[in-house]
Amino acid sequence: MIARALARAQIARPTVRAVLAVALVAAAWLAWSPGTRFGLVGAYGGWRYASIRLLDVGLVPLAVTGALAGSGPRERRLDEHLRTLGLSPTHLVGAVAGSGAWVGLAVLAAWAVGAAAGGWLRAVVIGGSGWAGPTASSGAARDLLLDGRLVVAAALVGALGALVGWLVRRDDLAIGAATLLSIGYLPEWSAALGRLPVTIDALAFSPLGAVRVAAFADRGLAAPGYARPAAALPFGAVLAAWGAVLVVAAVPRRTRRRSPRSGVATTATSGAGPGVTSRVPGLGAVRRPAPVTVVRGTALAVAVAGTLAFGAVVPARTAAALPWRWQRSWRDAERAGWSSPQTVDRYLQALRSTPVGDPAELVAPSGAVDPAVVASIPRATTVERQPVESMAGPDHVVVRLDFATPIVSGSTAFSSYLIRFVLARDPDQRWRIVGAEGPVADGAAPAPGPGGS
Amino acid sequence: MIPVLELDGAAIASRRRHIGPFDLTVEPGETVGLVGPNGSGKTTCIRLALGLDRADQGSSRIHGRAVSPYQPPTGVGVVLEADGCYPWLSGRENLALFAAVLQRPPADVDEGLAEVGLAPAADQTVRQYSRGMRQRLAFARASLGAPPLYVLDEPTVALDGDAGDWLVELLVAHTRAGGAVLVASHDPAFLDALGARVVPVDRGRCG
Repeated sequence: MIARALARAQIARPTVRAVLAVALVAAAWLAWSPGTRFGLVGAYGGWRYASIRLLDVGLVPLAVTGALAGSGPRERRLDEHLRTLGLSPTHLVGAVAGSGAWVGLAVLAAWAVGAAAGGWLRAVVIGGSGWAGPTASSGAARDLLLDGRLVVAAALVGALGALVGWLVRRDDLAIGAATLLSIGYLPEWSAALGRLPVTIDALAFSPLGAVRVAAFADRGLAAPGYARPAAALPFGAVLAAWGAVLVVAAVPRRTRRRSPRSGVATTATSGAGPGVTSRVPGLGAVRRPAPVTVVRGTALAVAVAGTLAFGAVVPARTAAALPWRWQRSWRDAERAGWSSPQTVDRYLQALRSTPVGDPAELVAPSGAVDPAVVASIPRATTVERQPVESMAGPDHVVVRLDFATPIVSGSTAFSSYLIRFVLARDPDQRWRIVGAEGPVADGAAPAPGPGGS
Repeated sequence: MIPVLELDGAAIASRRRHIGPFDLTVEPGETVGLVGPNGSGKTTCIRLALGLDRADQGSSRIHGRAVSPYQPPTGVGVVLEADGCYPWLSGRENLALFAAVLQRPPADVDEGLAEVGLAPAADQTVRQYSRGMRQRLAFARASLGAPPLYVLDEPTVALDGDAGDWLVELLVAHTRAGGAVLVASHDPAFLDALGARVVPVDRGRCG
């Protein structure tokens, strides 16, 4: 109840409302482009695509609003007034973390509205068809599981942000700290950090990284462990450890106090009235008390050092639980030019070059691509491969073909096709095409009259 | 009779500062006024009494219960130097936040605002309030739940003459009903009007 009251006060704050608006617009934009250009159409398509971006692009507004929920009561000294109402430090820190969780859910709601609105608007303005193949969706049960995890993740990021904000006490520092903690997960930064692999691995063990990995652990590489929810457990433990560190740091530490009488000379006073005495400290009588608990800064330093150490030597079993784009094998494939989108790029380039190249080495020995797909690629005016950030997994890459001269089928002319390439990783860590689904029409135009092409 | 508030040798004795020890009792029906120049330790005395600062030595008890940063006080209405309000919320919303914590009914919020004369400005954001209005709001918050003890740090510093009279009336009625008040103030006339027992504080010591 206290947490909700504190969260309501934060959501009424103009700064937090501005961040919520930014989150809404960002989600709408992501759902508009490039998300729904690759087969996810309408409000649900927008949500399906942009929802997973909540934990990279959306992580910054999530963490910042959470941190403001933690720093707000401290900067304005509400915490002191709340304590004089009888709230214990533990209760108060719990309420503040809870308010951060509620604020995180508010950001999730803004993100969901934005994503759905963006997808819906695009469907209305530009049109398009939903992907109709049997593997178009990963399944309702799995989608629901991911949605549930996103809800929990949003609340957790908000709560962790609130604890960080509580610790730094000031709004400006809270915004800075939350941004620093969350900005590494932006795709652009991940690419830069990937040059020093240990930083990416260490990110997975940081507070927000652990949330991300626990939420997405079942979206790992296709084999093995692609659908293995239990892989979230190790990072759940990492997350719990971070939560404990932050709570310990946020609750005031107890120190051993000396007796009120020890080392103090007492003198009676005159004229101070009944019940009032004065004490004059004797020479050297008052000494600095010795703290008997762990110093907060030390705990945090140990936690950060532990994070980097874990990042340097991620155990193989734990590494397999990382989101696919964070896995070393994926990054190695990217560096070697054999990640799934790079393979598709080379395949498209081979078919569209003059003279036509031989894409045989890009197709797995057991794989085959439908001749209709092969024929449509050179005819396209423009070809657009979906960006890596918009891929739900490493094993499916969607390509959009646009035709200046629509392709006529019956009474309908199609101006755009979508093709979904299916890829698998070889034992030599190279991604090769095993098949292609489609083409399905994305943009339709009225068929030309008799005599048209 | 158990004192409403009791400071027993409470002191801050860190490497950087050394304030206290403070010995002080406030009995039921009594008003105690802490007086002293700026920096004399009045605010620290109040913060130690409320358990907002950790006493390295000694102790504080309110209503017979030990108070510290880990054991917060209950039954105290507090006005501190910082108003502790969210400027983007209205006076009513700020008060409602604290009423929710105390689990008081919404009617108490309107009643509290009316009591301090803020009813007409209840829906203005606190950012628009003058300092005196903020002080009134702080007192309205302190009054939520009708606490038996008020601890007030410079409550008249931004109040005009009329408002000071209004506050005196409220506090005098409170002590007549058996309540107690600990107040730090630079205003001798205010303390006189309250009939306070004056306790000088100088260089971090009471007496």
